[in-house]
Amino acid sequence: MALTIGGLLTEARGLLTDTIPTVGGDTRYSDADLVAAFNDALLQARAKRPDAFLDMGLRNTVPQYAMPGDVSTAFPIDAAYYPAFLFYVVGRTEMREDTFSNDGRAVALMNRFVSQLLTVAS
Amino acid sequence: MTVTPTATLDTSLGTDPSVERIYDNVQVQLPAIGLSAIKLALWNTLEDFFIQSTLKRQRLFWKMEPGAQTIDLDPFDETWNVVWVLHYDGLSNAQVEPPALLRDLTYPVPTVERGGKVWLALKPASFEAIRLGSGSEVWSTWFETILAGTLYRLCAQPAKPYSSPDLAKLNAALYRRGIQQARDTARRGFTDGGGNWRFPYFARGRQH
Repeated sequence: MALTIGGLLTEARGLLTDTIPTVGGDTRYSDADLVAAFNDALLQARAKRPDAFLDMGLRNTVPQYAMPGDVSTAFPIDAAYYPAFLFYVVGRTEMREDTFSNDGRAVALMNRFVSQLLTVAS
Repeated sequence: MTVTPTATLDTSLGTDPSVERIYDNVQVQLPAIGLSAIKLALWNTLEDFFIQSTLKRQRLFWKMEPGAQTIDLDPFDETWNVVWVLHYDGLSNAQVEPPALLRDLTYPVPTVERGGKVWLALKPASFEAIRLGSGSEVWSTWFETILAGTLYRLCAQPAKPYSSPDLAKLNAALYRRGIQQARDTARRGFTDGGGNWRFPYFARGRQH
């Protein structure tokens, strides 16, 4: 099965324990929040690993995605970067100041994103 | 149901064994590397290899029309461009303007046809041109050299999981040595150099 942006956000929601809507009917983190984190990860990856964007074109604008339009859009770069993006989306989302977030975990996940992009041992 | 591809020779060497052999060798050695990055380094290596080694040489007979002062020999054809002119004859007062414009400096401009021979060093016009078979010896005879050149370019990149100054240095040395061998082979006309050399008879070399 092809890896998609929607699939990544669903996995992220699972790691955030945010799959069941709260009393008001919404999940804690909106799709817009999660896809914003994904777009941020793309920009970070573009700066750290330009070689991952060779197929996309290094002088093209880095694409920015939106929900729900891009639910089925394929993960835009090599699948090897998928796990790193997942960690980033979860980590950045947990940076938000609220009762349920865990700052330590957020920092650890975002650092893991960087180390997965730049080093072998991670 | 997800079907896992079966590991066969086809999936490891692919339908284009010459190029995919390089890809496989690089991806086996370097962690977390994308195919596009390898392709970029491979093309840089291939072009540089042909420029430095002058492995691809071609003799050409040229003809300059009456009244003409120049003849441009580049590109050689749709697959090969000229790196530079190794040697030319047929003109006594001329110059080469890179890469391969032959200019007759005779004044006044001759009104007769001129002609001669020229030795050209060639380089591939594009990655696709060489991938599709022209210059195919580069994928076999010079495989180790091309691999070393590709690896050194990749290992020398900063801030990548596969960055390695030591490996870059090692592969760069192998690559440079391969280029020297290729250049030497080309200069000897792809032969053994004309057999065992002996001193000429007047130096008491040929006794029999």
